[in-house]
Amino acid sequence: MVKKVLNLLFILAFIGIFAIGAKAEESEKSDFKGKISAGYHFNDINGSTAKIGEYEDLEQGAGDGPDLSFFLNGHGDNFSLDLGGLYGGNKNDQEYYLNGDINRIFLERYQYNRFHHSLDHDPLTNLSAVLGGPKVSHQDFDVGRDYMIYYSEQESNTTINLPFLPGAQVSFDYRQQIRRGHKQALTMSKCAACHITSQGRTIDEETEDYKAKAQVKFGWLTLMYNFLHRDFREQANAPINQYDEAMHPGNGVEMFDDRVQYHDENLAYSQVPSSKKDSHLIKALAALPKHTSFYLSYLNSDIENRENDLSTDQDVITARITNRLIPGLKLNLDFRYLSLDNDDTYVDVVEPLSVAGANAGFPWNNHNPALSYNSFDPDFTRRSAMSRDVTTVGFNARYRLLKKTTIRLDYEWEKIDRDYYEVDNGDTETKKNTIKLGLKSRLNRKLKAKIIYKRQDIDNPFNNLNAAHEVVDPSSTYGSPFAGLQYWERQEDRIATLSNQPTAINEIKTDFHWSIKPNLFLNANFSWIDKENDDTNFSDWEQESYRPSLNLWYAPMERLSFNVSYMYDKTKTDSVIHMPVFDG
Amino acid sequence: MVNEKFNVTFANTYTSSKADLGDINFSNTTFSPNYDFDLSEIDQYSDLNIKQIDLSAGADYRINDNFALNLGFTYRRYADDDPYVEDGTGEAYITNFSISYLF
Repeated sequence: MVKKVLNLLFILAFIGIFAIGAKAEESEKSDFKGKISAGYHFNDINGSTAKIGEYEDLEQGAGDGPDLSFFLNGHGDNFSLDLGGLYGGNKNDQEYYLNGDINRIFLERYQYNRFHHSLDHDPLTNLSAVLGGPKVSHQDFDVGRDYMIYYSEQESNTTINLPFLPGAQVSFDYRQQIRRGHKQALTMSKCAACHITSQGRTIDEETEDYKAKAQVKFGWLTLMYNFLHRDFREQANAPINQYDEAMHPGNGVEMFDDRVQYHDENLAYSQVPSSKKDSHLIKALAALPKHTSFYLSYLNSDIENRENDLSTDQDVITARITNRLIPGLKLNLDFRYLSLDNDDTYVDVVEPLSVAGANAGFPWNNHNPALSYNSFDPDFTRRSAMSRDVTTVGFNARYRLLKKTTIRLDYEWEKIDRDYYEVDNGDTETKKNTIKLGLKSRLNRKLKAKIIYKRQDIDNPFNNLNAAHEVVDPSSTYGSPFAGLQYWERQEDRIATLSNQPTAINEIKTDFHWSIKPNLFLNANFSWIDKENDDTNFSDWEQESYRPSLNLWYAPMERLSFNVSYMYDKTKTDSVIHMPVFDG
Repeated sequence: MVNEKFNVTFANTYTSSKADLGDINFSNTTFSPNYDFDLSEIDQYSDLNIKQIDLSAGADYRINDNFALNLGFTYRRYADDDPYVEDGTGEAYITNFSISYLF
């Protein structure tokens, strides 16, 4: 409520400042025009509104209230004002804006909009698609409920050009987004994925951004500093699920209590942590001699999870040199370095005692000495796959080969060095080499054509090491959870590395534009993309796409135009599928 | 624009989307009797067969320098012929009118 009052005061203050400014300039020439509309709408609806009204509140019959809209545009020698609004008959269909400036010194842009988003409600029936063998059961505790999120967003950008320091500018931005409603939240209700439950989760989220910016220009050098503070809060409670009791699927004895973290209790799930972000960005742009420009920026950001104090720190340095010394030739050299550090966290696993069976009275790790199975201390430090250093160096050149023909060459080298996550045995690095060749030509006054070829080679793309295909010693004992092979040992014996990321990409894109008449043109595009990965040790992966499209535009009259588009996409993927089977 | 006082607009978008997953077949594979799954129905949960149309027409009539009448009509249809998550098939006829004061 306090924020609403502040926002209202802010708008009134701006209009007040504007009015005073306009009054002061009354004697000068000014011009205002506007429009106020009032009406009604009527809907006749058949079937579901989930898709036809995905972002619009559609109800049968007349709307709740009148549809209202207005706009006002005014300008004079020393000011301009543009404001408008739309009320679509109910509170979830609103949009307002205000843009204005006084003497080009004080500039304000404000907008507010409110709408809803209908979400899918998955009946979970696809989980019954696999027949035979152990089955996955499912329960939807919210059958028939429509899930929906109500959004409202307001944004203000205030800029002041400092009159006593030409080229200097400060600005203050504020953005608030509120999301309220319900969405579907799923969880596994057993010790594995064979019982899925679903219910509605209340959403009550708010994101606020506060941004301050300062920019100053000293002749050939422009400097800019940007600070952002973002707060994200989820104020709704997480849903509660009654988790099943873990027991032997055959005899019903609670002999696996030592192997589960939780069971037979009510616990929260789908929890969304509140967080905050601070970032500092410094930019410098220099116009150097010999038609050369130089750009340099440094970004430091910190995102913190308010629930557990874990944070992600990021530093990014970006540099670019552009040169146009040789007529017809434009050269760019780019450099980017990113360092991302995501906090480690120690996972202290609950180690309950078994209440029945051969290990009764003991935890799974330090088990009954009479039992012979292999175990380990389940506590571990979770290290993040996000933590990494990324270095990118790029070069591109565009040269006007003939009067109406341009050729381009792009090359980029990138290295991703992850702190912990291995993409090959003992190797955390991914390297990419990308080369792009292009030709653009205006064949005559009516025809334009463009063709681009791209080749990318990737060493060690994102892989899931030893993800599938266990090869177990045939003499190993199966069947007994207390004497035989443990699941973790079977996972340790997996040998197949899987990936759906390519090691090589070939891509051709063409674009053809034909201006048949001044009021009639045809655009034709075609792209072919081939991706393959034959470097994994067990199987190959390949994906090939063809995407032709046509677009015809015709304007028989000044204010009448027709546009017809057709797009076709054929994509074929060859991939090995490993289906883990597990029935508890 | 028909004349200085009367203005009409039309807009139409039609989209047809189709996709499907072929039968899942395993070659050279023998399942344990305990895991002899029947996967023949999986592909039915991946079909995509959606047609969407959005047709709108509007007319503005300028009564005089200060007043105008506006009439709009929209027909919107979403047809999912192979729903497997939620059947969002529906259509709406939306009619709206308004009177505007211009200054």
